[in-house]
Amino acid sequence: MSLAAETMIQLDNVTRAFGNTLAVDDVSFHVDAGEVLGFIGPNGAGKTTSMRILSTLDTPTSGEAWVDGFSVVDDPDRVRERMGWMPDGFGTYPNINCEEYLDFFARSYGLRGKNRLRAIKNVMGFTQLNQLSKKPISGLSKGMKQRLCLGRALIHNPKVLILDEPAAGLDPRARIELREMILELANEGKSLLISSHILSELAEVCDRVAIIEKGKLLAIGSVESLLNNESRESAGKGVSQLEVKFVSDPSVVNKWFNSREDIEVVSTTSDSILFNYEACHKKQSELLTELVNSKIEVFEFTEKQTSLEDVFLSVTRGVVQ
Amino acid sequence: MTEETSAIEKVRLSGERVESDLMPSRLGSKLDGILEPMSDWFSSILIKEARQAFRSRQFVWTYILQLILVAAWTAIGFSLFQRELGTSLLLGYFIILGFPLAVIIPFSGYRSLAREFDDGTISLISITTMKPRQIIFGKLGSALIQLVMYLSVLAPCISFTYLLQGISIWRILLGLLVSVGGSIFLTIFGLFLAGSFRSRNLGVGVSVVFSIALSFAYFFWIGFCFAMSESSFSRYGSEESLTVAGFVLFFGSTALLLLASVVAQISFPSDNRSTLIRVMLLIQQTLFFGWIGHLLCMESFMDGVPTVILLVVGHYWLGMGFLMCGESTNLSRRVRRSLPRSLPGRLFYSLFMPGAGRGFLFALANVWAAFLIVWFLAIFEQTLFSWEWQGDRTRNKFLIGSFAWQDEFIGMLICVGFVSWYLSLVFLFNRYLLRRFDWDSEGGYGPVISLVFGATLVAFISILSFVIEGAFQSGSFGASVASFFNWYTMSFESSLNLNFFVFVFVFVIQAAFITIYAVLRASDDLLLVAVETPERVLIERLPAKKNTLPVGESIDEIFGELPVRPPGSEDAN
Repeated sequence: MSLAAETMIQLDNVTRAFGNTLAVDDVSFHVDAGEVLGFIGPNGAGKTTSMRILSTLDTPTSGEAWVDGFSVVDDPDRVRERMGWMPDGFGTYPNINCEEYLDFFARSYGLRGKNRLRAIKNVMGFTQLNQLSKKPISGLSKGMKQRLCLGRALIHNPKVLILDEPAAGLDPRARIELREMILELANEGKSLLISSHILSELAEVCDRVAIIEKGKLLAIGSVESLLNNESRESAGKGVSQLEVKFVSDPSVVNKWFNSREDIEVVSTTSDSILFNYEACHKKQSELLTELVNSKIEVFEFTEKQTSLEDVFLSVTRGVVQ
Repeated sequence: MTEETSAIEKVRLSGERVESDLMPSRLGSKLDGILEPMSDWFSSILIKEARQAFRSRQFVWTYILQLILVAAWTAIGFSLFQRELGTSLLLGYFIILGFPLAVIIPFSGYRSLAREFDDGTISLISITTMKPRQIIFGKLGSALIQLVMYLSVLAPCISFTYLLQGISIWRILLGLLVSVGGSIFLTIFGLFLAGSFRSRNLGVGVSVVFSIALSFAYFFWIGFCFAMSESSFSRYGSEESLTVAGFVLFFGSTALLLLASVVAQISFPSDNRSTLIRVMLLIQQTLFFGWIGHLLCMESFMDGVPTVILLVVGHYWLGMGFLMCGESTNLSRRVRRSLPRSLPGRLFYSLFMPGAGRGFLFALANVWAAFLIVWFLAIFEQTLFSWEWQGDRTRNKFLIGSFAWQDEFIGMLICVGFVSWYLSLVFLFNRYLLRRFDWDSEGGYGPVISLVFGATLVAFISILSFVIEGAFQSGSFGASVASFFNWYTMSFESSLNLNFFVFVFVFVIQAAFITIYAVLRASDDLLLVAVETPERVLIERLPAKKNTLPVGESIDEIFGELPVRPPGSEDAN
């Protein structure tokens, strides 16, 4: 098996079975150096299992997984030198502070003397934990713990980072900071595999996205290509999703929309309505004119842009259920 | 880059100051500057655990309580005990010392590893470059440090009692040996339990049972202290010394076996998790026979002793063999890389490799080796005692050709035969399951299932034959066909009413056939084919560790075929 030098993570037909259940079913993908791959899927889709296999915490039932050209099954020790893993849960130790926590993992990765101290310094600087170095871990906020966890994964300066739901439970500010850190790491040439439920976050940091459900990889590609495909698919069907915001009586608006056979209402609120209509912009313009002529006071009329959520829903709907 | 990124850069720059803060030389403490580099020699687990342990309330309170109790006992002792002051004080000191050593430290060791599984932190440390044995030895080392701390409170007091009348140095050493050795053994046992029962729910039950067991161990320790205070234990060579030596060898080798087991339990699935355990099994058997041999030099065998030895060894290998028969048959590529390439190497070393067939043959080989050793020891003993006690020949039961010798010999042979039969049945049963249901022990439960099945089989056949025998023979055992399947009856009553030819036809032939068939089936597993180590691994391994080439690969082959990176051109991780 020879791999291109740039390929840092590779899964070849990986399957992981637990009894009769296939947690991961014949999944193949790769991540190049400096690339960020988003791993999307609902709970139980097989994301964490795939990541655990790559992190040398589990072995595939069949297939091969490689990190920087080393098999995760046959050479886990070499994979571990190159890989940092941040799980979705945060394991803490009582009676030690942040600095001691990082010191412990630095020593565990074989860092000695000044190299160890330098690694701790770098990580604390990067994760902005300087002021909290002597603080017990039990006293940290969720966001700070996530930073510390990221710092632990980075302590031995790995080439590959595997982050399982890194933004889960974080407030918006912490999410932004985490996103910046991820981008920074990618700019340094590290390869990242990130799983998340927050698809908008992934869209902003990932070069490519892989969608997995029920253990099967349903789609993989750059965010742009997936969005374009979705847009083209919608355009091919001649349908766009439009949103109208209004100040009129909602019952009157709903009655007007429901009376139209060429409109498929998706959802309504007290001041907005989401519906499917023809993709043709001229037709949409005519619809707006009709709305205004019908005395409905419209203050916003927008064509909804295709998002990663739409792609995800479109790809997963009815494919593997 | 956004403004936030700039902020990160700023913080990273400010990190330069943090580096200087973290550098021990800038802390203003010369001592830290000296100790910090020295700490690199210690296991990271040991340092972390020591930090945690010494900050825990449990340690602080136990330590303070120990200090108070020692001071109180010393004061009470001097005021109450005029006669045998030293013995009374020593007894009290050992009882005080026993509590942290027998209860606190082992339970802390157990909880330390169990908490890693509960909190999921075992995953975090498993993916570091630490080896599993470093993790376990780190935990054990932390327990030893605590032990030294607790011992430091009592050491001056115990030393002081030696200056008083009536205390021999042997008694003090025995007390320390048993307390420290017992504490280490219990801690290792605690680690083994934590590694074996990882489920949180199961762990609660195990915690309760283990803490109760530790309480009993402490009460046993108190009883031992009283017995020791009244004992005349004084010199090496006495019965007590031999008993102590036997206990030390048994518990020492068992501790090594448990350590090897718990290391295997937390090892990566593709690692070789069996060879070390098998080596430890072999060491334990060797020590056992060494001890028996030593006993022989001092005492003569009595009637039935060789059969009892074989029964003990037989049960040992039966249990271990059942576990090994449940191992996964798959041998990972990682393990196959380390296989020897020469034929003798493959034949011998293969038995130590993981796998049900190899495990079955390993157990079988050992139990037959045990039979030969006991036979040899019996002949040796007969010769030895013939020389020494010419006038006391009646004690020698192993004179070749005598009825007694035949009786013992057949008893031993029956014992080994039954072990071989049971092992073969369980091995073939596991093979059948694997073929029929595509069942494999990759989940880690194979050995346990195999052990449970094997133990049930032995119990069922023995009890059934016993019941049938009792029902039809009105309590006269050892004479019917049913009794032929009872290992225990046959081993001890082989000469009583035994119709030898019927026994051969009913039991021996089928047992021999099953055993030979199982051996032939298992022999397939000895034909292991080594796989080549990937070039990338070889290249990377060379600059760092030139002396650890894979077995069977010469350095010329590697240098001749592969480009070698100069040192320093490795990936800078």
